[in-house]
Amino acid sequence: MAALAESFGRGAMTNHWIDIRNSDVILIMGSNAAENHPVSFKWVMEARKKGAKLISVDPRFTRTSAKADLYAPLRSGSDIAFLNGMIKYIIDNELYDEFYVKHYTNAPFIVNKDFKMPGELDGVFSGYDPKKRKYNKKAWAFQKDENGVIRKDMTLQDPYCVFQLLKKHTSRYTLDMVEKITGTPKDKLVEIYKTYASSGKPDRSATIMYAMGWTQHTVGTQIIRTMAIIQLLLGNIGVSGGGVNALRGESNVQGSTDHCLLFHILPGYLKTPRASQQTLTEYNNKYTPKTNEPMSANWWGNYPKYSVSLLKAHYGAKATPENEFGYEWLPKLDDGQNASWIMLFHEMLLGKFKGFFAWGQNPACSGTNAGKVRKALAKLEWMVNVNLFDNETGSFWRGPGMNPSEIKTEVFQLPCAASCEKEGSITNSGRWAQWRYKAADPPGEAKPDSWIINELFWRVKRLYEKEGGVYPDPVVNLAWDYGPKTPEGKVRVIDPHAIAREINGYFLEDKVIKGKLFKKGTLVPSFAYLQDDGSTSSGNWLYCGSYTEKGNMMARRSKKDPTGLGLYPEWSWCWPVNRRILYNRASVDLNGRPRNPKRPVIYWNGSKWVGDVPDGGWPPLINKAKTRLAFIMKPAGVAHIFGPGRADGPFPEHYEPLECPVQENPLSKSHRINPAVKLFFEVEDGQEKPRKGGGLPEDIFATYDSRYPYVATTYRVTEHWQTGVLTRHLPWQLEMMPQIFVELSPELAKEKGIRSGDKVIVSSARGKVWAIAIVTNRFRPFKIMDKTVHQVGLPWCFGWQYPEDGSGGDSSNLLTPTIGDANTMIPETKAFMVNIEKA
Amino acid sequence: MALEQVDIKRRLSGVDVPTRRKGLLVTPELCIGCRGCQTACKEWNKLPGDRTVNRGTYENPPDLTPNLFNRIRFVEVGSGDALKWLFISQRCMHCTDAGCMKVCPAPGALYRTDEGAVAFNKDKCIGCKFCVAGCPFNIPRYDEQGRVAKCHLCSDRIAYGLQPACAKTCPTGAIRFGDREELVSYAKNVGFKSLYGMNDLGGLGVLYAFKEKPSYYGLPDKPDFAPTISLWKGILKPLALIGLGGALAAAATHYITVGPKETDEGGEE
Amino acid sequence: MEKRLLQKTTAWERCNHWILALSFIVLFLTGLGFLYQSLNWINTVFGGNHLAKEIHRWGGLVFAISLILTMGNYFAEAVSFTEEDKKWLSSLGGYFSRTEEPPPQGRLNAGQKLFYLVVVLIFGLAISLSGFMLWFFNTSRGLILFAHFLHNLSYIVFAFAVPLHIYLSTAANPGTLRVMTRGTVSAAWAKKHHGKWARDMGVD
Repeated sequence: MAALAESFGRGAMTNHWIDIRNSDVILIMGSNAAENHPVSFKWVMEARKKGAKLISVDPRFTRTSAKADLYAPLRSGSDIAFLNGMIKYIIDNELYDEFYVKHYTNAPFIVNKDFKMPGELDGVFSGYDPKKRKYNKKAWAFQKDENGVIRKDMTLQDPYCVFQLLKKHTSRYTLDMVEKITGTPKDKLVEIYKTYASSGKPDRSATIMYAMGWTQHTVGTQIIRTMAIIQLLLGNIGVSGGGVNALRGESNVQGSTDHCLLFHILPGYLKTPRASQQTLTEYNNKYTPKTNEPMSANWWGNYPKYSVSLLKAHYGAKATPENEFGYEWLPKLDDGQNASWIMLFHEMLLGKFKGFFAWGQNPACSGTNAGKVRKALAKLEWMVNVNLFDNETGSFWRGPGMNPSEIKTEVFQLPCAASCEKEGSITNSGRWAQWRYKAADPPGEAKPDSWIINELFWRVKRLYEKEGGVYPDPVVNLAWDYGPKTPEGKVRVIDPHAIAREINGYFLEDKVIKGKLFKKGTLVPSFAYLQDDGSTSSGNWLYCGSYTEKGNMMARRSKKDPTGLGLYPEWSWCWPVNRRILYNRASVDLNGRPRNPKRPVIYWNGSKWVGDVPDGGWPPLINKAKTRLAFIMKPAGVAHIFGPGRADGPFPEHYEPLECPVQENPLSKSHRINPAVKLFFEVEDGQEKPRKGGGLPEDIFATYDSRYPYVATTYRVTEHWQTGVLTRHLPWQLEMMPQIFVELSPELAKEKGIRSGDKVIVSSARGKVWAIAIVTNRFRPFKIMDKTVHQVGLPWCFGWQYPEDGSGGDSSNLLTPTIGDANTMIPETKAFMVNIEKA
Repeated sequence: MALEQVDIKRRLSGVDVPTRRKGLLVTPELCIGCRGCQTACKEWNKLPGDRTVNRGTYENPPDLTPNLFNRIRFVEVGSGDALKWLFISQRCMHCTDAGCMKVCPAPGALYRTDEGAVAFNKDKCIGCKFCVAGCPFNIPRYDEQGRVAKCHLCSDRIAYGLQPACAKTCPTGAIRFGDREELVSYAKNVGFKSLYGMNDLGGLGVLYAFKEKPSYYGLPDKPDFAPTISLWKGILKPLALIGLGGALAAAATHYITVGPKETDEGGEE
Repeated sequence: MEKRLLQKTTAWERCNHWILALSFIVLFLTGLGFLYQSLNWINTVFGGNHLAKEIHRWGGLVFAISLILTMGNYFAEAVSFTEEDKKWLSSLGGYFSRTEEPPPQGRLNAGQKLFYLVVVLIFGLAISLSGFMLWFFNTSRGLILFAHFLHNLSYIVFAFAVPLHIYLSTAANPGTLRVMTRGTVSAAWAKKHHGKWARDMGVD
């Protein structure tokens, strides 16, 4: 999501599931949609029926590859090389959409003359501080004129314009080089590049479907950035059948991320305040971007309206202008603090946590380096495991290698309701918030999550009220009006509609906006009406409009499709403002005419936009006085080919995974791995091998090491859900996929004397698991830097706790390393090194 | 089980297939091997999951069982760039000329529904396993009580206008349910000139749209039941009655024409 | 001509025959019920298909045992082929002429020998063995197909041969039924039908 926000302005799938059917070329890379998003394949197949070409690029031949017109293998962790090669191909053969690149991206922007790139600095961009492993991003600044407006060269010829820099940067990614890094044969590369780049014409569109195969790398964000750049070069953003489509790993990941699942954001992608931001004004100033670009909408300029409305939703009447709407009560991160997944368990192992709520998750299997996670859990005083079933996390103390008598952690198991046993909304990858009804009562003592939270809140609040405590204000001042209350003030039953309405937001007083009166207590129709003076509330500005005076928009189920593109504007509700295809104003020419008349998303009829909800209602670009640029969430109004906001460089560069089969980065001797990642185990200079005693033994890694010579990756299977807690208990699913397996090529199997069905041991520097060998031609040896490199793969959906006889095996995350992406800290579980031996 | 209730409405036997016959169109090209159909089938038919092991393949269970009416086979063919991974649903074909029904000695154990499906009634099955021998596709299985079990095209769903569970679940349309005639014309419209099962065995209820040879998917190129069954059904079975009748007629004729061999002793009484 | 009775069968033989005959009839009828859906009502009379199946199986066991026991009674004689048998065959047993008479026969004539050897021995064994295969060894498709075919083929033979056997032993040859009821035949009957045997038994 970090890459999408950097490139386009919003961290979400740009299009939506049904729109995949409108594509001419579909690239599935970094995901295995047929297996993990099988329903999406309905639309892939629809597209294919109409003649679309399906391309699958994956280290192994998957069920997705089985359906593809074109398949190419590539070594895990070499995606950027593959995609940078495509950028070079597109530029060299002039296959890019010139109009689009000039008007909708920052390709014409001119970067400062001191800026240097990895080709010149042996693997890093300007501004790198090797001691801190950090960049000074000021080194990546654009040139500006006397008015503070960025200098541009609309001819794209200036040697320091983004386009020329990109051309120069990717010129190192020749077909030979890409083949040597990725192991993908050259003819396949060309075939795929050519097929994909055919979408550079305005009347053709191509889409990318990616998922955890891209995000779970130390360079995950930059892989997606590379693809975003390709899509911008080809003019595939904002059009029907285009986009960069992130397939979320769970049905409601988009919704939970929108509502602040992650540590660094508040609902609606507002920023979590840092300790140094002492006042609301400081905070708002910090995160409200300013621009001197004359035609930029700079939508984030509205930041204070959204942050104040959020505070009003949090603290209700207690939030007043005098107390900065309760800003003081918001929890704050220390400056520079990272509280992501890997860090949480790292700190837990160091004994910095007393308690832990494992809510609807199974970190003992899903967490990277699961052996470390399990040890960390033993350092807790208490743990609450909220789940449908007991799992490896709740029972960690009696797991393999554990001595229950030495573990002090007290575990509380709270059975909770399944999704169909409660009412509420889920938001799918395409940003559609769909209301769901309760189908059945939860069994036994299981309770909905909201019931559990309500009880917890009430009891904690009462304790604070009775006993005081260090800082009771944030809790006792929370507004909690989610249903009828007892005389003491406890909410009896949480009403999901009350929550949905709070998320949408209310007018808190009579308010006249743009000449229209809104009565106190009514629901805000759209975020355009939110205010920064405390007169409105909204629990998540992005969802403002989802539950209005017209009713629950998320519950709509109309199959009307006026555009014929499958937008279904009255089916559920989609953020923002029910816009189905983001950045859709980039699909038209200067006059507002659709550039692809076959599939017009929107067009200007002379006075307004018709079709999808336009991404900004201003007139077309030809009207220079009134128009605003198409990418309204970016300060300069255009999409970022040059992305100066990321931690690890404005352009994507290939770096090897932490554990890799080559001694050095074929592109730069000094920087084998991403220079901006946080290391958990210190490295020696040069090849960046582990330094003896450089960290906790749990965090050890082994690269270019004869003990662990094979590249490994992990994945899911259709038959199981995540760590399998829900599906391993279903005999039907277990019957189809009963045991952990490892897939390997016949060539490697022959070398190791392994036959299909044999039990083998797969080990990494951190742990080992047994698995059943599946010897298959779907894996084939790679030629990397002229040497044969084998790759294997294992699913991570098994765990020791169920089936109870242990016949399923354990999680392959016992093998994966402690390291994450430089921007997101998403763990690198998709590329690491292992050994495999017959058991 | 709802099956028995529906069963009352069903004609007990016979091979006369209704004209508005329902069927399935299976298009392996569209199948992504997700096995949603395999689970949906078990769920609707309330079939238990069996304990299995991984045999070095995704395909599991290794064969149809009395608890598994529909199985996705995973077939890997070739290697390198020619590698193909094929997925295909293995299940009862609901033949017009159904070998199993031909040989079944217990009327009503296997029966033709109004929609043209070959359904079964465990209560009537006598467990002789003749249908196993009669089936050209090796489909029927026997449970622990020795009663037949196989796909019945969700006869208890389609009788009420619902689709079979497998077709309902299939995300890509690889299993498509409908009037057989409409399925045939649909397949033609999307470019399949010939369908597997179009005319075989009088026309299969489950049609396959193949691009490759059927044998690629492990199906007989020209399905037919064992010749002994045709021989029996076509010639010998009528002959048995003719034989019986003939023998009686011959005896009568002989008695009337030639007459008995009387012992000429003038009566022995 | 004096009235004299000759013992043609022992009580043991007669008991066996009727057990065989009775089990045959039961098997034949239930078999008809299984074979022809239009005749399935027969099995309803036997208590439904499930009971009929059990009756057919256990009846088959009785039939098979009885069949084997019967063989002891005539096997040795049936395989010995004599000059009289040849003549009997060439005259078709005299059954197709009101005048022609085959030469005097032994205890068993050629027709009976053939019936015993072909129908009773070969097809009796075939129908029994195939029946047991269908009962106990029905694990492979090929075995079932083979056994089923054999069972049905033998059934036709029986369907054809047994009615004739009954006709020949009753209406066609009055006085013959006694052989299997009382066990004795009149000397006159013996002379006419088994002249040689009658001679051996002391009837002139």
